[in-house]
Amino acid sequence: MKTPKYIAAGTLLLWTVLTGFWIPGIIMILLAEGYRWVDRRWEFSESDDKRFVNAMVISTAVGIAYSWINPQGAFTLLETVQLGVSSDVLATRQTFQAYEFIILILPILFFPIFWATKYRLSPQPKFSIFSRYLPSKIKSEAKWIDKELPADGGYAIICAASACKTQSEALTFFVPFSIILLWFLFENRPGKRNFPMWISHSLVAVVIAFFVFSGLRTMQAIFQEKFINYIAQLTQRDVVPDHAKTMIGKAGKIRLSGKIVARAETNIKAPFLLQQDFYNKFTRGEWHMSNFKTVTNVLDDGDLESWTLRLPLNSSTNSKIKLYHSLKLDGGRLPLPMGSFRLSSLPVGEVLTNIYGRVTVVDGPGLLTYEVDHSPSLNHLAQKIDLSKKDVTKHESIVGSREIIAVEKICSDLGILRNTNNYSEKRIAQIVSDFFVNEGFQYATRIKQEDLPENRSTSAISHFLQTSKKGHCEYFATATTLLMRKANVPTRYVVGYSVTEKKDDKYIIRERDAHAWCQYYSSSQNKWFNLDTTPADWKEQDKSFASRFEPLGDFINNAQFHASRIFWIWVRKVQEFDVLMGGLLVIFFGFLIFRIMRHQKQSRTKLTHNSNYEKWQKMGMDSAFFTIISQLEKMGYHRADGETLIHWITHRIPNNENLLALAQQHNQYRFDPAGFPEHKKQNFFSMVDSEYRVLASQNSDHKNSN
Amino acid sequence: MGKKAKKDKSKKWYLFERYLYWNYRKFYTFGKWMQLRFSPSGRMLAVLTGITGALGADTTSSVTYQAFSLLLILLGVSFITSLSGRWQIKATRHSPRVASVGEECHYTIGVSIKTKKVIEGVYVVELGPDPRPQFMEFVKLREPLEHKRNFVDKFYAYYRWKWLISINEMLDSSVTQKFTLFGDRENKLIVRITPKKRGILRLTQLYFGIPSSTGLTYSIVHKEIPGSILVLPERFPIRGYEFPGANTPDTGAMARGQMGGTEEEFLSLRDYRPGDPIKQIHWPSSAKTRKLIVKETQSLSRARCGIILDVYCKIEDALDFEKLVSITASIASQTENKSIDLDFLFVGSEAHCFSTGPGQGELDQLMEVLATIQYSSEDNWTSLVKVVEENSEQIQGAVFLTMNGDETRDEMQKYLDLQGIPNQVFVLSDNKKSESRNRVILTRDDYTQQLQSLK
Repeated sequence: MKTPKYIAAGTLLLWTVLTGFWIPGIIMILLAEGYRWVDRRWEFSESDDKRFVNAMVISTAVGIAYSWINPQGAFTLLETVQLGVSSDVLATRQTFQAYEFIILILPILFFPIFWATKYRLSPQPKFSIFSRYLPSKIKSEAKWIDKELPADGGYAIICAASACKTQSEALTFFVPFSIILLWFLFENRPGKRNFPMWISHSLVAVVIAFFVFSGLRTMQAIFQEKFINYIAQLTQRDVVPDHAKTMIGKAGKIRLSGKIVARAETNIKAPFLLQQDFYNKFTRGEWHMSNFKTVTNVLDDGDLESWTLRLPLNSSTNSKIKLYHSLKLDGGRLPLPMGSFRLSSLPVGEVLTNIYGRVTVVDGPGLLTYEVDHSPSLNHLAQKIDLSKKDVTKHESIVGSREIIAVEKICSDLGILRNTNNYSEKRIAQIVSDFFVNEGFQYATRIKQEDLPENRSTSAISHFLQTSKKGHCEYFATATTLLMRKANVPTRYVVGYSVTEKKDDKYIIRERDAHAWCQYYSSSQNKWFNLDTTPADWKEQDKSFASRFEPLGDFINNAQFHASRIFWIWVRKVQEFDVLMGGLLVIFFGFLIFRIMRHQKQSRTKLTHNSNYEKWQKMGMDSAFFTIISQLEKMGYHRADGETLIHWITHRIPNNENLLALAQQHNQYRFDPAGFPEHKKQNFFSMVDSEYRVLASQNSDHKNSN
Repeated sequence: MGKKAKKDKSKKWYLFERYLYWNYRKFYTFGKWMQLRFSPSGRMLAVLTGITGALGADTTSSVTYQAFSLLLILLGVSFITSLSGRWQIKATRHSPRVASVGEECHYTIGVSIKTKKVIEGVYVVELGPDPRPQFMEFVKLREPLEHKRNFVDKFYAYYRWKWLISINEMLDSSVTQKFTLFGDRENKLIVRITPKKRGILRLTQLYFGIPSSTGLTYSIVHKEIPGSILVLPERFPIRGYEFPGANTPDTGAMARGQMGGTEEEFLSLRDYRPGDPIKQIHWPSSAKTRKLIVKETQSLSRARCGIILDVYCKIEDALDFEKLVSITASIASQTENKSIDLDFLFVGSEAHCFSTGPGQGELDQLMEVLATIQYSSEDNWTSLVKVVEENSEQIQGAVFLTMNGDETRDEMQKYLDLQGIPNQVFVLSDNKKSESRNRVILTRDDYTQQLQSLK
């Protein structure tokens, strides 16, 4: 396989254009191809090559760890690398997965190895330079390990792979990529005679490929619409700002991961609830939030870290909770205990809240550590909103038409329909709670098809209330909300976390602790109260369905959370971390190159057209005696392989006295030119010239006589 | 019936092994097909197509799917165009009769192709015998040092499969040679092959790969031209080795020969070289040609020596047996151009004694015997002893080669000593404890080095 000239630079240019990393890209292109015009070369040994590989591996590991712990920081780092030049890569994304980040910067990470293959005097490195990172079996048995590293081709593939991870407009990638690929195929075409066939077939392939990839995109859209959403619904709950899709009415298993969302330090005894989102409209298995766009900016207390949600009451029930919360996992929405009135040590750009009391932060670090002051007395939710029934909207009293029959019947049986008996809200809540206990409702994370209504027009909640009596927290919370509403008690559906797991004086809040319950409004007390009717043993039941490997998963999640926490504590101390990170990398590579060039006794030789190296190479090669050698060979005096010049002349050539003397001088000039003064050289050359003429005339005489 | 039922119960089905074996066979076939159908760039593109296909499944997250489409279609177009060409090729092979393991052997193939074009980049590949092992071989045989492999490797036995392929493969059939075919004449292609294993290399299938226009795939033309090459065992140089008993003249040698004659045997005539003795000058020829001609003769005071080969070998040591045959061939080769005749004694399915010397077999024929000799998993030691006893009167020296350095085998040396026959024993073993003056232990890894230092 031939690797075309400039192909590595070509793909590097493609990567530069698509990623927008113009500055590093152009520098790397110049360094990659500059070896054609720059004569400086270095002698790299195998251990130097291995150092380059070590540097690449360490940088990759550091990059993965950094982007894993702090995706936002990795994103910022890329923005820094772009130096203000905009590109599709960062414009269309908010953050990157660790692997995406690494793939995007792969050409930078591999560049030192590639660079070293270009500017070297020593033979090209082999695959064995990666041997430290290969299993011993491969090292001992793979044949390719001793093959030469295909520097240009390999680096071109790396650049192309990295460019593939970008999201550009259709032809921005496709056209240049096609050109590069055809360029490669052109160099490797089987014969030079069939160019018309080659070009026609290649162009046909490119045109078909264009239509195929356009079709692929459409196909995926159709496929996603038909299947992916369905599968996604079976596996996870999707919480978005304006509505919450639930698993109500769907067969499948709910079991979220053990990923740690937050940790809490508090004196409150478990179990307790942290609320996050509030919804008030229920239609066909989905909860919606009315008027969700109306948000209010919370003003900070002057230090950009403390935020007062509402004025506190001087109450003895006030308490504090310290939360370590991964912002990325919850999209900026804070899980807070009921009655929160102040947030402190929260270094974020903005804090927003809405009429329901949902608190969202903008532009924060990956992991937040903040304190929340709260008071159960302040169990209304909204900030600076009049503690009147105004924050109770009409939606908190509506029961959908699909569920109304079942709900009315149960409320009628319980004697709470439209609260004709004038029970207090607390009493109604108690009656509803007792209803779920007395009727033997069961908690289940796995909903089978037979647990769902046969008739699709039947509401899953009605079926749950009247027939199956089996469901998860969403069923219980939704059913309770609807029953309470039919008893004339305004009620909302709340999503958040149920905190129970305690380790080392801290509570651990995992994804699988996500929970749903409801809050009802007590008009007599002008307060909202939590009402959770899900059977108290739901967590125990959840555990029984856990995978055998869950402890291992939990362990890894703990490690990740701790690493993230330590990292962010450090980050807070070092404000300009990203700059520091970049600086460290530069120092690291600089040190590496410095060590290789100076301290490892590299023989560094400057190569110019008049350089010593070239002089050394050419010294003696201009001896005029070579003309005599070729003349003698023309005359039929064959010189055997490996036969010395002196031996040849002594044994094979008659009348050799003059030639022998000249040959000895030639050897001296050839191998010790420094000891051959200029006047001696001129004398030698003239003697050789006259001897050559004699030989040439002898040769022509011999031919004439024949 | 009861017994039969019992038998059935005890029969193992090897279901998982069968599954592995089936997979490995199919993958091997697929690998060969890829090698024949795709050029190196085509194979690289195929791998990249697979990777981009896997990574580009989500068309919304990256443009990998665009690369996937282009690679896939390029390969597809190339493959379809390679299917469309129907090439008519006539070929004849002129292969040599013998070759040696590890040594490149070249021969010509005459090829005529029915076209007016000149086709560049055509490959020609000889496919040797199918190296894939039989199922029971796969199940029963164990790779050397397999017990040291980890649990996963032992469980999936992939390394065992690779090992079996390597020991069965007689020929490296990877595509390396490219030719240009001219349509208007017969093309003589010089094909180079390097046999990997001794024995009879049966060449039946000749594959021609004609590149498609994009150069990613090949049109395959398959010709069945039977032929065979006898592959002699690998031999190593042993400088200055003196065969035991080789200095003792054999007075009975001439009696066994059919030619008869005096002390010296005429070989050939040649030009006089300074230093040749005057009595060697062949005067009649010198007179005819008017220049001095010398007659070359061969001494007929020849020694007769025996090479005794113990072919008993366990199936798992089959590779070591190949080494032993190479050692035997190397030692036998040392008698070339020396006045030594050989009796080669071994017992396979029956006892054999192959003799070289005037009027008998040649050393080349002995090599041919060694090329086809097989190990015996049955220990026919007593038969071997008997053959040696029968031939002991004729031999002046003996070399005994075995892989089994046990006490029973020691008796051979004792017997030869008792008969007053100078002898040397070569044991291929890693146990060097029992080495003595006439007993050389050759280790499995260093035996070539050890042979070179033999005296």
